[in-house]
Amino acid sequence: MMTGMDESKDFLYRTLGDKDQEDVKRLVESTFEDFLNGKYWDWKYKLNPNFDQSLVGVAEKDGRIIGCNHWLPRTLKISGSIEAKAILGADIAVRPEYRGHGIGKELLLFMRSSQVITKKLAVISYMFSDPNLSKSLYEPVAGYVSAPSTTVSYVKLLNWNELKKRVNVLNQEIQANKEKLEKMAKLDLTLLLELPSAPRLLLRLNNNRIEVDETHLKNPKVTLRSDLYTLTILKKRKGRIRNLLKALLTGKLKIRGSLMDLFRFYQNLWLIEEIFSKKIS
Amino acid sequence: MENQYEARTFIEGDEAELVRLFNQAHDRYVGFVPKTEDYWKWCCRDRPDVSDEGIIIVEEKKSRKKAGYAVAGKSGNIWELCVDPNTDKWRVLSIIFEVATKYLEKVHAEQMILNVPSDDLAMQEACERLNFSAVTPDQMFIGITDFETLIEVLTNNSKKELASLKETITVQLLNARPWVNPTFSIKVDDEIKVFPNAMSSSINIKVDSDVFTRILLGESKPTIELLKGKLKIRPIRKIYKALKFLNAVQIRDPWFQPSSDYG
Amino acid sequence: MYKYRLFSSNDSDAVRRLIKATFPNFLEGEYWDWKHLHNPRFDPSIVAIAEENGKIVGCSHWLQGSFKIAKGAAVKSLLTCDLAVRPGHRNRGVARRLLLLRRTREMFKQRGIVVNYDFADPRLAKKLYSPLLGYTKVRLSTKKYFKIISWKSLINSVSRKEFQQNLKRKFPKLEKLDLTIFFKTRSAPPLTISLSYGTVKASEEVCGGDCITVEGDLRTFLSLVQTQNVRRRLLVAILERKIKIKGSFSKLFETYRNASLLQALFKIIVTRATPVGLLEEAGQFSIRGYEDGDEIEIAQLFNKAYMNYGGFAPRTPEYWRWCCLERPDVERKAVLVVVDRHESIAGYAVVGKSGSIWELCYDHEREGEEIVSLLLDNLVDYLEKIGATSIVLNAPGEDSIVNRACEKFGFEAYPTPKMFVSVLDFGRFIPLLAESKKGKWATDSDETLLVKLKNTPFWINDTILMKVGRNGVQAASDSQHATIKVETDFITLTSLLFGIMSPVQALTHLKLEVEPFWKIPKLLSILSYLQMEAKWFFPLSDFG
Repeated sequence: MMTGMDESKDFLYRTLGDKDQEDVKRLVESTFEDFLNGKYWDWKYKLNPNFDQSLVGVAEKDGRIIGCNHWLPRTLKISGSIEAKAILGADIAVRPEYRGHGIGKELLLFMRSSQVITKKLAVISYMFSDPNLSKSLYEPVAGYVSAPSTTVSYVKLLNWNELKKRVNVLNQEIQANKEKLEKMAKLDLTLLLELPSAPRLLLRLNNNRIEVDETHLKNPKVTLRSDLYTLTILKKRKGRIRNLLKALLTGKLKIRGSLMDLFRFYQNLWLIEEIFSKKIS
Repeated sequence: MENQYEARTFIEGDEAELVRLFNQAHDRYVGFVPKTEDYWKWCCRDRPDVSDEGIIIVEEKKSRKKAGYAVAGKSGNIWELCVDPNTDKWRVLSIIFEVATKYLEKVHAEQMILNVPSDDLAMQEACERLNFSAVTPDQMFIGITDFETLIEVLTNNSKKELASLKETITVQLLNARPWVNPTFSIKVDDEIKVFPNAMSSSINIKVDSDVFTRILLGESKPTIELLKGKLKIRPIRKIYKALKFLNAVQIRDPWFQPSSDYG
Repeated sequence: MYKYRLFSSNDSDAVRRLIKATFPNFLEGEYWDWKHLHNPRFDPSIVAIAEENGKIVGCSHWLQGSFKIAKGAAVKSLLTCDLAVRPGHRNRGVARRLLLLRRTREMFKQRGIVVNYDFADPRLAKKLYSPLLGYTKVRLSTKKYFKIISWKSLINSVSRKEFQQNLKRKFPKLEKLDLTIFFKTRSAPPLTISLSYGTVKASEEVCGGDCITVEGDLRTFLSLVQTQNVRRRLLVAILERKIKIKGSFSKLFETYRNASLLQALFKIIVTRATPVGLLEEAGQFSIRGYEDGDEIEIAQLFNKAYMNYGGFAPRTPEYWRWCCLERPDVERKAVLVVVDRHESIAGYAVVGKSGSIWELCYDHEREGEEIVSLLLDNLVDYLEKIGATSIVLNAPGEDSIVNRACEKFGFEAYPTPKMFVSVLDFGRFIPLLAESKKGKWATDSDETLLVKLKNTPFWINDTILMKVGRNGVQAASDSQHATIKVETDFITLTSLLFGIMSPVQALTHLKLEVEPFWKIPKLLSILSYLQMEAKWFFPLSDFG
């Protein structure tokens, strides 16, 4: 078993032991709960024919696992006719209360002292990440660069069931929150959202409630026409005004409604934000 | 009414008359290989799934003149089916189908497949009455490798009609494939001569090679292509003459392929 | 590398085998000798052969003859026929080269050829013959008729023990069915299929008892066997009076309830147990669920479909089983396989309950749009049934077939998770890159390249010594004799090798220090040569 110590903070870095599996599983589940409810560790690692326990690094403090990093050896095709031994770096997770202490960085470096490097068992390593995180962590620490990918993702929403669940919870929150109740008191707005890759969505905001329907209304007060990606951008608060203007000018967002209704819509953006607070797709 | 026809199988020496019968019966069609005895022997008699017993010939009882024949393969394919148009077609066909079906049942074939000309109503009616189902026919595709010779051949039948044109037409083919001459000229007079190069001409036609192919094969009308802008004719005052020429060279005869030509 | 040449008498056996393997359904492939070798029109100088490493992988035949082009006029022609390319060599331009071999003006003129024609699958003609050879479709005055004389081989096949066992294994619900269906059609003898608690029987007897009678034309029956929504298609056929159904209410209801099962069953019976050509009218592809053993063909299809890309783990059957079939959110019935008439896999998809299409793959040599549409149609159906909220799939950006299909099904393109890569061992990575470019590198001089990396992390060797020359790139041992020295940082070198940054850009941004300076053009050319050209693609199954 490989070990290393970050003496300044009393973190111990070592490889996964048999008794650690449940802890690591729980850590991954809680960090990546959006992905298959986090329940994929057994399949992805234990059942993986290429799994090597010595290629899973853990960070420990006071006998408790607070971080992990996984390496999966595999063959990777690098061009039409050439394959190379590679490592997929995956599921790097640190408990929220220990983030910002350089544990992620140490875990990355720790894995790079493994036998994969010392015995030259792989030629390249690759991973999938948020570009901002890669820029701030993976590139400076581990030398990752953007791969020459031509991959496109295609998305379609089949229904708004998840949103409906969110709205049910939100309605309860509103009823229990005096401030929100007051904000919604005089609200009377119907918003129709039309996206090419999703069913129509009608939001009725009145009587201190939000109602969601997948239907068409003849004269909604506000109609929004856009696409999923533009909506995802507009969800972010940072740069929202600029993004909104850009979307309107480039035709990626079309809004219809009377001036008064548009103003009311703008005033109640907080509510729209709450409705769409979870990932749209 | 006494049946004036009877069926028998092939015997040596039949091929000459069968070939004559085939070419006569298909005289109005294009798109197939005109039969010669040698060719017929190979494409029908020597075929792997054909035996002499599968070559069914119907003759007039008295004159022994051949009224029709079919070449049935053990696969169930009727490679050729031919009836003299000057006979009682329905009767001849009935006999052929009856014998062919018995033969195919004997050799344990499970299906019968045949091609018939779509304008031959007698044949179609016979197939319908005998409970055949119409299915999508095999599709033929053609490319022209020698436009000059083809035009010479096609204009042969329209000499009188075109004699009054008295023009020299240069055709420039755009996007011609490398094996095709992209420019040639046609002198239209009492005699029609085609020259494999550009000449001092009174009419110039510029057209895409594939569009010109479609026009010659009768798949597209020259007027339509002109209106679409795919056919350019200069000078404009000679458009009528150019269209007259192009309409005259179009193949208008119906296309028919017996399955023996490609199966 | 393929070699193209003309036929010689030594090639007969190999060509015969190739034709038999490519066209087994036509006279069981046993027609080449008659059609070509023994044909008086056979001319070996117009039969094209494609060879790889001495093995014949493709052939194309021309038969010269006469062709009636107008009334009373025949011209000399060439019939293109029996174009065959071995499956592993398709989609590499072999067919194109074969068709173009000998296709010159001189050759046509010498032989007096005026037209060249062919009988082809319209889809292949559209894809290959028309654009390449300028072929035009001619309007037909030909009608084709078809009739079934006997159901003997179907009856015999159905009665075979293995067939019965296979059906029982595939359709366990047959145990509960007790149905007799009598098919009455003009162009075939009567056919009665009885399903009696797991046993299937076929006969040409007219059904007298309690059975469902289905009367219609053969074409409609075959289209019912192939359609995706059999119940809807059946109702439409009844309303259009193309089908008449008679029977007791309970039996009719049972038939309707089990329509999908019956469709699948009849499809097998019709495909495997009837004369050739019966399903030609009914569509080329059909869809079914995964069966054990499919993973071999699936892995091959995946690797073939993406053979021009990098960035993914090449599939083996074991790897595919783990990454798709054993995935936590994948049910067996959510692995869909598209097969052709010969039960060859033409496409497949794996979808999870999460709505992620982990893999969607099709044979690029086949009708991609039809295959992908068939898959997406069924995938959307499945996901709607299980109440999934969304669907996501990954495809290469240039895949216009998937792009069009997704548009048709109401998908939108969405930014994909980003892939990042880092080199762990430049000394081994660079020769691998060079290996992939073999044959493209031409240099008259050898150089020894010494690369010194600045600010390297501990796991990276900060010195790379390579011999670059006529034989490609190899590791070198003696840094004293380096002819080009270059200093850079390992991020720049990684970016250069992966094609993210151009060598000229790196130089102008002062990321490269080169000695001696007159070797700069040589170094830039070496770096350009080494740069990765292959585009990368990752299916969701490699990422999720």
